[in-house]
Amino acid sequence: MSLPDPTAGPHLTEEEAVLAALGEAPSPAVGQHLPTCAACRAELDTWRRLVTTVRDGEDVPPVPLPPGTWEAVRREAGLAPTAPRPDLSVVAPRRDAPRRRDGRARRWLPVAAALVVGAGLGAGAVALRPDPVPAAAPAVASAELAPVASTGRGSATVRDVDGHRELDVSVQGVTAAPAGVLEVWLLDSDGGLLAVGTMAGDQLNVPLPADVDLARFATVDVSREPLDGDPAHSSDSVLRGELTPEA
Amino acid sequence: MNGGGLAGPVIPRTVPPVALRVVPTREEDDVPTTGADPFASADDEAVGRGFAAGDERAFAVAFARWAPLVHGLALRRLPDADAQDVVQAVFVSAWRTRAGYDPDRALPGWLVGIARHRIADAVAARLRAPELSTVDDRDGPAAEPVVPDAADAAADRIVLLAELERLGEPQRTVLRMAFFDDLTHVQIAERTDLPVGTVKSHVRRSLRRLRDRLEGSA
Repeated sequence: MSLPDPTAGPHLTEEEAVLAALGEAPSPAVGQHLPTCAACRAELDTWRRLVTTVRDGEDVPPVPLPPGTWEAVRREAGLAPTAPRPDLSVVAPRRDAPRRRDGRARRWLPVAAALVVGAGLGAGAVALRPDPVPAAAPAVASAELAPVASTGRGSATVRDVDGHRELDVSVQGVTAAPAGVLEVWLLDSDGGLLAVGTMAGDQLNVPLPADVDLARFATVDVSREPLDGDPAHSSDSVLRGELTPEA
Repeated sequence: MNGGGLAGPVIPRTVPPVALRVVPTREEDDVPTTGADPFASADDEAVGRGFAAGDERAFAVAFARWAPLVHGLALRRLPDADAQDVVQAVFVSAWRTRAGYDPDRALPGWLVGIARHRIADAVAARLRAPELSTVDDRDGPAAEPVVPDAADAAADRIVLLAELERLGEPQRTVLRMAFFDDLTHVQIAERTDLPVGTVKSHVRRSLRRLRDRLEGSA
């Protein structure tokens, strides 16, 4: 057997990248490729920054200039004293820069349980365990989560609780996009991914089915997901870390 | 769901040109009458073309229109006096280097590009100035690299919105729908009666143009 190609599928086309940056749901192929390709994630982040700046960037309020500024410019620029002068007594009305309308939730759909079907992971995997895990439960594996592109941190711990495994994830300094959630995934080195669950605030605690091989799905990934009803990975990963078995 | 149903045909929100009269501001200014100024109420594109052609009236209108914006930008990083100096330097430099301005670009975006450099230079000069240093060093503190910050994002936004306005139709309407109405390319196609493939192509090309213009202004 040869080693798997570290990146899954083809790179994003520019069209796929700009549509994803605008918030459209990526195709399954894109969702599979992005977690495996830093170059495409970086390109997507560049487009996302542009989109965010246009949609939600801060406006600069114009500030009137003191009298004499135009005269100084006119002199220094070498314009004749007879040059026309701008009428600064007419205060330019503040232009209302365009903004995203409030109806940005127009595309909101009831979020389906964000499950990647297969790999033996049943629907029960995302059910939040009602009782908090006793902190004393022994850790089986753990990961420090580091920011993928910007800031934040977190940790993931797999514990053995009464003979079954549970995954605890907690994050700091990262937030979901407006009208979105943070979702936890397990990635393998072959581009495969498992949806583990949706974080409530900055915490997640879910049971891990016994079939999930942590030697294979060793990467914990936290992504920002729009509530668009698309169960695929948004490709907007914020934190990531490798699970290492506890000694 | 908020906002009710989908709106009817979307009318592009055009920004009306800012009406500016080019007239003496004070009695004693003794500015000769220049007759009806063709740029006073011209749109931004016409002002940009007049400026590129070396028309002083267009330059005066450009100053009135965008100097307060450049001033606002400069004030984010600099104290009053320095910010005014920057505005002055930006417009003097703009006039002298107007041959380098491509009138197919948005003039405010180009001015902001000059302003970025002037502001960065002024910030660096302040950091070097010994009297501003809190430590008694002979060489002055090393200038810190100017890192992208909120002021840069604000400048980016000026450039991007100005370039968005310069897109032709239907690209401008398509991109506005994608940005501000949060519509998918399929929804935009339904509303504009354009083929889906055409909408996708407009979105991609227009965003690429905005990005190129932004990178060209940084």
